[in-house]
Amino acid sequence: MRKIKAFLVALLLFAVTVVGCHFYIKDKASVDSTAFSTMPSEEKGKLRVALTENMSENGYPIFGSSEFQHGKDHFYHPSQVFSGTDFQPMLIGAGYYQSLSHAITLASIEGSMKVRKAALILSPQWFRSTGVVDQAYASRFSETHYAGAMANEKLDDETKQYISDRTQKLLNVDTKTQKRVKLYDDVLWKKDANIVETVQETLWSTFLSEKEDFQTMLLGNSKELKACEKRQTEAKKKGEAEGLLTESGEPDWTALLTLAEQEGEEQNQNPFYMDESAYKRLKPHLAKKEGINSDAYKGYQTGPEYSDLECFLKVCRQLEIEPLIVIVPVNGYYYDFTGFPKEARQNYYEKVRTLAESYGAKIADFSDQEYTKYFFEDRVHLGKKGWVMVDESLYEFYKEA
Amino acid sequence: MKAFMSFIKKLENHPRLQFALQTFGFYVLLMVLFLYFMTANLSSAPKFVYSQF
Repeated sequence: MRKIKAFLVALLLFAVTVVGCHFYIKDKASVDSTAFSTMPSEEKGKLRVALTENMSENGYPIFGSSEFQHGKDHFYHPSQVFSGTDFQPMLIGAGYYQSLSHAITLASIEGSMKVRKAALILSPQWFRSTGVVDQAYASRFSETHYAGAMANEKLDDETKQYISDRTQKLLNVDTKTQKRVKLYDDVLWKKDANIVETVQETLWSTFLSEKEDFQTMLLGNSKELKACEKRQTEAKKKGEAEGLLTESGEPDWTALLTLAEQEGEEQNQNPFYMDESAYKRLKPHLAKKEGINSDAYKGYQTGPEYSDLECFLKVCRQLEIEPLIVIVPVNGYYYDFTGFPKEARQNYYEKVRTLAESYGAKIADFSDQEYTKYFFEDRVHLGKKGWVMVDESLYEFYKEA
Repeated sequence: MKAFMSFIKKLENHPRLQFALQTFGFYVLLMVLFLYFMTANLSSAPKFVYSQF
C-alpha cells in the first residue's frame, strides 16, 4: 500500500514536471537564431514544429535535396550569401528528399507562410525511371507533415488520394508507419474513423507534437547550428572586406560571380572543372564510369517523379502559393565522359519546363549552364558559380511583387 | 556491504524517509522513460544511408 502511495505521489510530481517542461519547451521551439532557417539539416525538414515556428515573415521555403549539405561550407551557399540580407528563406531538404515529400511538407506548413511563394530546386537524378527509392522515402518520411497535409482542407480529394496512394506504396518497407498513415487518412481526411481510432490518433499526434518540440529545442542548441552561425559570421566579414555587398547591403551578384570565377581558376583545374576535393574522390572510380551511360537514351525522361512533381505543382495551385522551379543541369563535361546522351538531357529539361509552364510556375532555367566552368561542385551538385546564379534567382523571386 | 545493510536496517525504522526514497525512485524512473521517448528515434523505417557512389 505504501509503495502504491509512493508511486502515485511520484506520478503527480512527474505530471507537474512534464507540464512545466511542456511550456518551457514550447517557448524554446521558436529558436532564437536567424541561422536556423537556412541551416542545412536533414532532421529539421522532418520536424513540422521546427518549420512552422521558425518561418520568417521575410522569406519562403526553398525545397531541395543533397545540394544543401554538399555546398554548406561554400561561401556561395544561400545560408552564407543571404545572412546579411533581409531575405530569410527556410531551406528544407537533404539527400533523397524529392517532389512527393516536398509536396506533403508544403501542404503541412503553408499555414505559417506569410510570403506565399515556394521554390523547388530540381535534381535530375530524381527523374530516374524508378523515381524516389522506397527505403529512402520511408527513412525521410515525417508523420507530422503527412498528418498536417491530410488535415489541410484547402487540398482537394484527388490530390490527397494521390499522396495517400503513393505513400502507401512506398511505405511497403515500413508497415508500422503504413498503418498509421491509413489512420491519418481515416481520421483527418476521410473523417470516417470510429471513436477508438480517433482517440488513438489524437494521443499519438499529441505525443509526436511534444516530441517535435523537444527535438526542435535540441536542434536549436546543436553544434550544427553553432557551426552554421560561425560560417555566417565569417561570410559577413568576407562580404564586407572583399566588397561583395552593394551599398544597400544586398549581395553584389557581379562581384560574387567574378570571385567564383577567380576561385575556380585557382582551385578547380581538372577535366570536369569541379571542386578538387570532389575530383579526388571521383578519380578512383573514373575507369569504370567512362561510357557507362551511353545507352541511356531515355534517361531521366520516364518514371513516377514527373507525377510527383505535378503533385507538388497542384499543391501550390490549391494553396495559392506561387512556385519557382529551379532547373539545375548536370555537369556536361562529366556526363559526356560517361556517354549520357546530350539529347536525353535536353529532353529531360524540356519535359520539366513544359510541365512547370502548364501550371504557370516561374522557372529559373539553368539548363544552358552544363558547360559553365566552376558551376558544379562535383558531377551534379551546385558549386561556386552555380550557387551564385541560383542564389540570385531565388533572391529576385523574393523581391518580385 | 556492511554499511549498506545497516543503512537499509535504519531505513526500516524511518518510514517517512523510506517513503520519500521510494517516491524519488519512481519519479526518476518515470523521468528516464519520458526523456527516452522524447529523444529516441522511434522510426520503424529501414536504415537508408546516403551514398554518393
